[in-house]
Amino acid sequence: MLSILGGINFYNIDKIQKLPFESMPSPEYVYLKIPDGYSLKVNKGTKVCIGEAVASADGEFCPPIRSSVSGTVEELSENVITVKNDFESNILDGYTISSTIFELSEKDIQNLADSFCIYDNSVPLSQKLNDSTGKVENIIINAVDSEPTEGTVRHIILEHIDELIKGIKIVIHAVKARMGIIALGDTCEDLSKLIQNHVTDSNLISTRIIESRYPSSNSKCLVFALTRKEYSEENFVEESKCLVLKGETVVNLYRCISQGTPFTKKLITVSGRINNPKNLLVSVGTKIDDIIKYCGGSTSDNYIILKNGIMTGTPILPDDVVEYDTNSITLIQKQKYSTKKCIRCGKCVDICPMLLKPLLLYSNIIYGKAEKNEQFGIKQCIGCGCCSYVCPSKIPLANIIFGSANKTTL
Amino acid sequence: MFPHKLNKDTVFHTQSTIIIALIPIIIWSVYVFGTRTITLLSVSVLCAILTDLLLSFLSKNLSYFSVLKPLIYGFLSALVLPVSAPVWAFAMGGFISSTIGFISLKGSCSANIINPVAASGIILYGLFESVVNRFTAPFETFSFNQLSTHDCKYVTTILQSIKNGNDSITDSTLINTFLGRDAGAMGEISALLIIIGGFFIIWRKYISYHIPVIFVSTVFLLSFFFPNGNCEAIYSSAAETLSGGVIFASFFVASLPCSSPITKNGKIIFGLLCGIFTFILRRFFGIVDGALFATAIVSCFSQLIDFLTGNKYFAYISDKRKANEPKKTNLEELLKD
Repeated sequence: MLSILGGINFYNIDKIQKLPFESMPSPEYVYLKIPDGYSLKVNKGTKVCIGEAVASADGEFCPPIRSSVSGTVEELSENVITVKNDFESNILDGYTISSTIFELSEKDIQNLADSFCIYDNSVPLSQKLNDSTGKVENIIINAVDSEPTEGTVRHIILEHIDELIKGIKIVIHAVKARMGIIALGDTCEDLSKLIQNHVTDSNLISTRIIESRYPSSNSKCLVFALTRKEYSEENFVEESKCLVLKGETVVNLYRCISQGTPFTKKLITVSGRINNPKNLLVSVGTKIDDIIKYCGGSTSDNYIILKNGIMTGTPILPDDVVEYDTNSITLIQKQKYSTKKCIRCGKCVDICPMLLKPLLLYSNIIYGKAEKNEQFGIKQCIGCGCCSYVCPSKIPLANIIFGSANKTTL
Repeated sequence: MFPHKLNKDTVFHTQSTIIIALIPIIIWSVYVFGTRTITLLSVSVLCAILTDLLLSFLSKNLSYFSVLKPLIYGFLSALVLPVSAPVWAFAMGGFISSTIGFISLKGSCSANIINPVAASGIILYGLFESVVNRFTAPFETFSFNQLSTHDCKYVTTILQSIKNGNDSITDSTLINTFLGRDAGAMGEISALLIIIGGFFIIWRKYISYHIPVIFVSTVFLLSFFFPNGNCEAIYSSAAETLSGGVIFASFFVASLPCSSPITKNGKIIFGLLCGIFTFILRRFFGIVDGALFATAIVSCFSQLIDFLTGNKYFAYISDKRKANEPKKTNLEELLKD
């Protein structure tokens, strides 16, 4: 089986993937975050319908902010718009796409992706398409769950396989690639038959099965697992000739273009210390608190909420909202670990998927020789957190090394 | 801060593995050499722990003190010595290994300048050869309160007899050596138990298999192709590997993570160098058992080996290519000046 180097094998991942799937009814209030540089298009009391733009910016690759419910604008503050739901679910009149999809030019598809505000992990899809037009040969669909606490991929393939394959064809057309590869995790191995039944042209779209060890959804690791070639971070697209996209992104692209309306919902996994863990389809802008209440509340009082998993996630507050880059919500108990002295066991060296020597890099940083780390490849660090996870001395290696590589403090 | 949940493995789990692996070896040595073994081990361990405690108190790092590290050094530095050695040699062994193990090389995280156990071994074997480097016959037991060993009978080990030109090595001698019914240092007699313990710590991932496998096979192959003594090469090379400290040193001393390289290629080079040095010391320098000496020498270079092999990271080839690209000079700017 194709696999990455190093990494962590979490077991029982398929339990999270087989959690029940539900579509959460839209909440009473949604809170839309407005980034800097966006100008408002609505006033207090304006009636908006689903998919209507509430704020927009002029620059390139700046998708407008669209409302995810129909209702009235209740409150306008500096960077949050509150929309009160009227539960009428008025949908914005569809864009009329005059020609068939395959007569559209690359620029048209980019503009459509922009106006339908499709994101691929917080990067606008239009930007990714623009960066790789004419440069790539393969489209790689990342159908491996990026975190152990994430399990939405199985649902996408089970329910939306037709949309996925048509979406891949659109992306292949948009960037002038040759073929699409669906990289499937081994926990979803049984679905490869299903994909093969739906693929008509096996020269155009093929399936590969990858061992779903932890950082295998990272694009560098994924391309290595598929091609056995190592590419560094800079000029990744030009050298590897691969464009890595999430399955959900491609499904959304097809859905939006075929229906002509923006899709403002997000598929997330809610798991951890919660009564009813679920895979949920929620409106963008829903408060985390509402989701936790919908899932039956937490099993304990003392918990913290993590966005995007236990390995690379960030703690968020119940007041925060679901955004386009939210993939999972995990409730865990806060745990304190006491750091001990390094015992040079070398577990971090064995596990690093980028073949770095975290121990060497760490000792260089703490003894003030950080500039030496360039020749040991510190720039290749993807910040997966594997070294911190396995360290028996509980040294925060990933924080220190990733922070030093990016000249930031995490 | 990420990740938010960590592995359940702790320093205690990792370091107690090696103690568990040593228990069968210690029990066998008590059976063969008598209860004096327990006295000697306790002296060494006590000295090691007290030294570590004192040093961490003096350097004001008492919060980092853990009892397991000096325990490991105390056990190992005692097990490489013969049972007939005087008690003060064991106390010194514990003191030296613990001191060297405490001092870490500046600029590296907790790496020692030299392998602590090998260093204490060579200091004792080198300075006090007349009282330390002699072995009593197996199954001639000493009771726990027998402190002086002046009047006991000494025998030659298989390794010494090969050096002296012995030609009577048979299958039964080799099996006896393998099972541990032969003269030798306390921990080094039974190759079988050492291999079992070694596999245990490899399985628990305290060490990796590279250093022991390469160290032992290098010694075996070199002594097979350049045989010593008058018997068949396969017998003498097997005896040279099984008798003496090669197997114990390869699993428990050379592999100690505090003074061995961390990279895979580095470990291969380290094991290879250890084997070659052992062979050279045995053949050309007249040392009977050079395993500890070789380990001590090579462990001084482990930081250098790390430095030389540590730059083989993901996609380093494309990085190197980019760095070697000739810089383009702007002709117009050149002409302007």
